[in-house]
Amino acid sequence: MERDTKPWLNSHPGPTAGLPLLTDDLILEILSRLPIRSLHRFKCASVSWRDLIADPANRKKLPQTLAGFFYMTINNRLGHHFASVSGDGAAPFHLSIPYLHNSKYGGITQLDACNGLLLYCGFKKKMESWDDFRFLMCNPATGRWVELPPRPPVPASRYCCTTGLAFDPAVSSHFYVLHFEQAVPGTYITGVNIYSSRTGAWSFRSGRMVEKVVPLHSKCVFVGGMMYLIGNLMGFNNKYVLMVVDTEGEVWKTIPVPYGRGSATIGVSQGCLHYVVASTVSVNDSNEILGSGITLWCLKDHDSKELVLKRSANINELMGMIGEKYKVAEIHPDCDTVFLMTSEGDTLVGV
Amino acid sequence: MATREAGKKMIMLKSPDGMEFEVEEAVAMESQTIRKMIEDDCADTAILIPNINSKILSRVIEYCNKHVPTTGATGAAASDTVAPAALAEDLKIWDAEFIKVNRATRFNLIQAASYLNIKGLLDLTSQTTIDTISDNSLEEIRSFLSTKNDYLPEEEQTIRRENQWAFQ
Repeated sequence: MERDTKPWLNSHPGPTAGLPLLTDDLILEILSRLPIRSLHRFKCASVSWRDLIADPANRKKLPQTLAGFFYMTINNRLGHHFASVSGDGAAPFHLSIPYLHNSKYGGITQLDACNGLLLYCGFKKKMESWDDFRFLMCNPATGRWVELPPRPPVPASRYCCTTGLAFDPAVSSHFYVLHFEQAVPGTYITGVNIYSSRTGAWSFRSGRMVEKVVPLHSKCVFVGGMMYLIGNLMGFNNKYVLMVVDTEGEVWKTIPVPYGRGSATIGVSQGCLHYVVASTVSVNDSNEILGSGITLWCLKDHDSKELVLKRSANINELMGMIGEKYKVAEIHPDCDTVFLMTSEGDTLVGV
Repeated sequence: MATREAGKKMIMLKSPDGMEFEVEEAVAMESQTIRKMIEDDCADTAILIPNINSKILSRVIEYCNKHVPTTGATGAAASDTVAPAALAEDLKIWDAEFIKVNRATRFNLIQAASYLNIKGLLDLTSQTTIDTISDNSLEEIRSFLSTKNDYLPEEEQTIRRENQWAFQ
């Protein structure tokens, strides 16, 4: 069959006859206001729209992700879910991705999510060594997944655990997996194994930092071409930093961050790295106890080494609702909203 | 350049069908395109606005008149007595009335807002279009934005399958 190659805005008869012609720029202007789900539906309307939406030059203008949480539940068996906060009416949906029910693996754990791709770890049924696992990459929108080649061998007196996914569809369709190497003992970061989907291979880069950074938790965040994680400077009880590394493992740096006794996390919001810390007890400059508080910080410029305080909130009232044991779960991708999780993990609150 | 009131610079806008509109410079400068022309001293006696007919141009000027911040004769008086929130609310209601036009006019307004670079008007017209169609079926969307289904049947099947989640 032959495609009708006439211009798509020809004056075919019907209800649209006589309408002004909208150029691609204007169509894009309109499409950029669509929620992501509708955008994907509109892709099916015509070839020219599909090409317009898929064109890398236009990706920055269009929404690329559903905003929400992927989370796992454990009762008898693992459940993988997604809770949307996009406000486009998308109900939480169960991920019916075939490999999650694949019998090849004994268990599957989600490690990271980045701009619409998900990184999982699939364990062999009978684990004979710590290397009996594979990283799995999944695109939940298409249901496609790939198994990465095994990670490189880990030398003695080193171990690898903290892992982050780097993917920015506005820049490239390729992704990177950063699998950090840590010292035993000490657990500070000594280097990183990087998988590049462009080369299809792993490579190792040594850490290039003066400081010894011990990751606070395993969460990695990728934004503006850099991978961030929260760490504690080894040998100092109260010195905390963001450790930053690029996807080539060439640029390494640290940014000091404020930290109280409580819970902190990092996330991407409005295109910038955000850092949020909640303390059950926070003090002001004169050491007066202020009670529970949350502060939200932003790294406005990727090249700067300073965080800017964006918001602070007193959450004493909220404590009455969710109890005193909570942790900071996430930061909303589009606005200054922070989600807290109760220690039982059964309630999610936005503040 | 004509001057109607002391201290208020007036600008003449001409549509290609020969109509002339005298507007305050501040109102005309709601359009970033015209602002650039004025700032670059390209605007002598009158500015010809190509490809926007007088009917649409008069609506655009109506919009700019309403949205120009407080420098208009009525604007200055209003801002002294009305709270900003109430003013914003009033603008919203006004916008909703303003955009009650047929599809052809709305598309013409989108074109004009884009050419003249008036962000508020582009937001209003595009968002109204999206609100009208985002929940519609593919057929309705195609017909509304006058695009043509040029997928081969098997291609359409594939892309629909790939984006099945968006239809649920």
